[in-house]
Amino acid sequence: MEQDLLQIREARKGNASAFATLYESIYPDLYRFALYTLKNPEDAEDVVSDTVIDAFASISKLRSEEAFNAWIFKILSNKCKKRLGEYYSDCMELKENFPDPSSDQDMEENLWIRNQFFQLDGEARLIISMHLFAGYSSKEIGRILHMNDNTVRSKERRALKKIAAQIEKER
Amino acid sequence: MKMNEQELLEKIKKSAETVPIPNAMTQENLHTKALQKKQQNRRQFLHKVEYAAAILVCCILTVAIYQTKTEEPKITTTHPLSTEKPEPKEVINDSSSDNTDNIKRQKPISRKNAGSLYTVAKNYEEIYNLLESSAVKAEEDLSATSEEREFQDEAGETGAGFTVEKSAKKESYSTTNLQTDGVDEADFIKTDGKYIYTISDQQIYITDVSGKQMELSTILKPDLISDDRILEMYIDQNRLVLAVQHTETSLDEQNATIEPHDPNDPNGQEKYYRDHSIEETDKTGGIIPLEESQCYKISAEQSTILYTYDLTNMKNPVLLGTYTQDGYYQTSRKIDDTIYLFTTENLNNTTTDLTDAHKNSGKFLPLINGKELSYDSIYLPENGNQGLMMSSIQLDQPNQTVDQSMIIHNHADIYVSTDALYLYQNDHQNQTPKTQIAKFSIQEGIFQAVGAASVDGQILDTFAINDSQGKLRVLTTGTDDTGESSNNLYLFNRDFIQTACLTGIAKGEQIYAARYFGDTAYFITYRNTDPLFAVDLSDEHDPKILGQLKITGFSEYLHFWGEHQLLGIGYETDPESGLQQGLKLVMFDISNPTELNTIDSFVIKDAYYSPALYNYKCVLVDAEENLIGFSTDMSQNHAYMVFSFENGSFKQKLKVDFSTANNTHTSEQNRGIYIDNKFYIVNANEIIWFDRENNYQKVQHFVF
Repeated sequence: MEQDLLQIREARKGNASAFATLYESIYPDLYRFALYTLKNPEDAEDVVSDTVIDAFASISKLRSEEAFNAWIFKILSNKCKKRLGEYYSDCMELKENFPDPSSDQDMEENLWIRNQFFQLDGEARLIISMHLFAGYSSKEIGRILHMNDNTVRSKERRALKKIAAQIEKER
Repeated sequence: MKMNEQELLEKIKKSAETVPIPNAMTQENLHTKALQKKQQNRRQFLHKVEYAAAILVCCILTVAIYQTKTEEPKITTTHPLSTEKPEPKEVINDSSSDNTDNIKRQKPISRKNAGSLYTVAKNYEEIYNLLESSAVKAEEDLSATSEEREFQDEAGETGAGFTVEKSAKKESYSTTNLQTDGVDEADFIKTDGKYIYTISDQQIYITDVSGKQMELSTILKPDLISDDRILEMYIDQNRLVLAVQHTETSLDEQNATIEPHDPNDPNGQEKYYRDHSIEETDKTGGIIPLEESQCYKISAEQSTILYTYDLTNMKNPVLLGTYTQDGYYQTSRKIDDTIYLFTTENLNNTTTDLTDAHKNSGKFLPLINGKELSYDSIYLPENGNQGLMMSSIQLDQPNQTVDQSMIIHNHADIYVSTDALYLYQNDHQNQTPKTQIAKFSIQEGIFQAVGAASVDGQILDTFAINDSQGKLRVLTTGTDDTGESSNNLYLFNRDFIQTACLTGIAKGEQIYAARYFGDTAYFITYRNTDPLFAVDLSDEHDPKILGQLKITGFSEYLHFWGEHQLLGIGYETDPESGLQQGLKLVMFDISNPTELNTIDSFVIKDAYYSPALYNYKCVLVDAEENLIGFSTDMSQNHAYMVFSFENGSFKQKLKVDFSTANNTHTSEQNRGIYIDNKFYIVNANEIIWFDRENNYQKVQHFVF
């Protein structure tokens, strides 16, 4: 972490190599966040690269070095939220199948749970992604999405209930 | 249940970890992707991607050190744009400032403080300073709290339960299910008994349902700009009011200028850049020179517009006026002829790098009808960065406000009774959760602070907070010293002074649903079974628990059924395992609150969810008409169901299945309406008409 702080400090001064190091440590989570929120690998790549551009362009404005992760995820969250709005009007088709290198049984479960997750509405996916991949608390999510934190928690709880009910059903 | 949710989250996370990350995402490869994009010739996007590539290529070479600056002309456009820059947007407003001129006021309002929770601003600079310090704090919070997750918290639902003081006169058609009788709420489907109004595809379909056949009377097309969205509407006699979210998208050009490597030698860096970056990047794959790499910053500013129409001539609605208020639409209410509009805007972004002149003029503040608020209409908390703008507008003067005010807060919820407005928010500064509540009177459309209070615990249900004749009653769920959850009841008098509290109710459980009937509070708590509590509030200094009843499952929505019965909609659960076994309707006998009983229950086994549990506008309950209507979700489809309650038992009257396959609408977007003996299921695509007197036979299916 101390190393990270140093990198962040350097990145804030405009040191691109430091920024690249930071990116290297965080991009898998950025990508998973975007994929799980948007359901579509190409879009996920697009928003992540967009996020990186914006992040680098404005990192000098980052006030506190500890907040780097929260801050870059915030940029990504806002971009995903925007995209979700576009999906809604376009009625995008789902793309659900990804190659999975893990064992058969695990693969089946992972695939199943992912498909269930993709059935949720965009807002629920965004909230859960913000929680799981970005590590935001409900309060932070509320602040970013302009919602009360109780609303955030109940939306998440509702979504999980939906999946849980499906699990029970299929048992 | 907690366990399940945590496990489920782990599973979702695990499923994501096995997703391969595309190679294109690695920093070395991001520039290749940029080149592909170049061929697609998407000029605007291109700039950005090339810029990204350039950044990353430079990283690999570890050469250039540069920054971007952002002080460029602003181009306003109405094109929908694919990317958004979440960074600071500036409020640009050149109108010379007299804040009160065009605002209609009967008399000057001298605002009082809301206790110490919100104080009236003394000048603009005080507001500026608060926002600036809150901005810093917000970022500190973000870094600090990432560690402490509070997600296991079972959390409260918004929506469920209802304060019905039965309306004096019954209409022969249904209205939107309201939180408080006499306080109208907007929705996307409305009826006036003769027409059904439906918001669909950014238009209003007005359907005449008074004849033998339903007929489309008019399609009202408001004059919208591309990004605008019609949210909700009110119908009041011959007035139609639409709430529209307006997005003003601006495109800022952002030049990627090069910061001097050595501050004393600006040319040195430029030279350095020319000598190294361009050639080096060319070698690695022909990346564009950085000189051209302008990129664009897209910022979207939100405002809410009310369009008011005269419907006297139904074939030709006439626009009477519009009213604009900055910010996201949060909610609205209508009491008699006055609409109360609440919008919210994050004010952090507006306060960066302002000159002193700006600080003192209030030009960093959001606008109400094109004007800044005067500072003495703005309430400040100790810290906060959300601006809640509230205004009151009369139906017959739709262009102007009666009053307006702004409260800076940290995400407050709003509850409106017939003569008061309550803002409540969680207070996270303590070990145990607390709720801060501020009361404002709203007599004749004027906002005036009454006071503020802080209570233990959180308000977990929309209907747990209730005002009866100016006296507030609140049910909260908090934690006691041992960390166990525990529920409390607080009573206040008209001056918002606490008169009594009852603490430590139902330890280990939390409130799922609540309703107040006259001087009795009913609420549901849940662990493995569903206790219904009845509490006598008639002595404001001494509330007493009258009775409780335990049954399996739990209700999440309560609605009074006549004076002696209470309907609950929720889940049936296995009392041993706590597993859910379907949706459940339950009718409680509350004729003797000391001896609560269950009359009947009905389990819908294949339904695992209903929006009725959380969104009261989806529910139709009318005891006099003997109607219970709501949507249910099944695994493959969703359905609208109608029940009656006859001779002490629930009876299913109608079930209409809707396919989820073509995704036309969700279960939450269905509304049930009755007009005399006609019953309608309405959504954005269609109206389906059934005959209540003829066993709910389908009469006509009308598709927009």
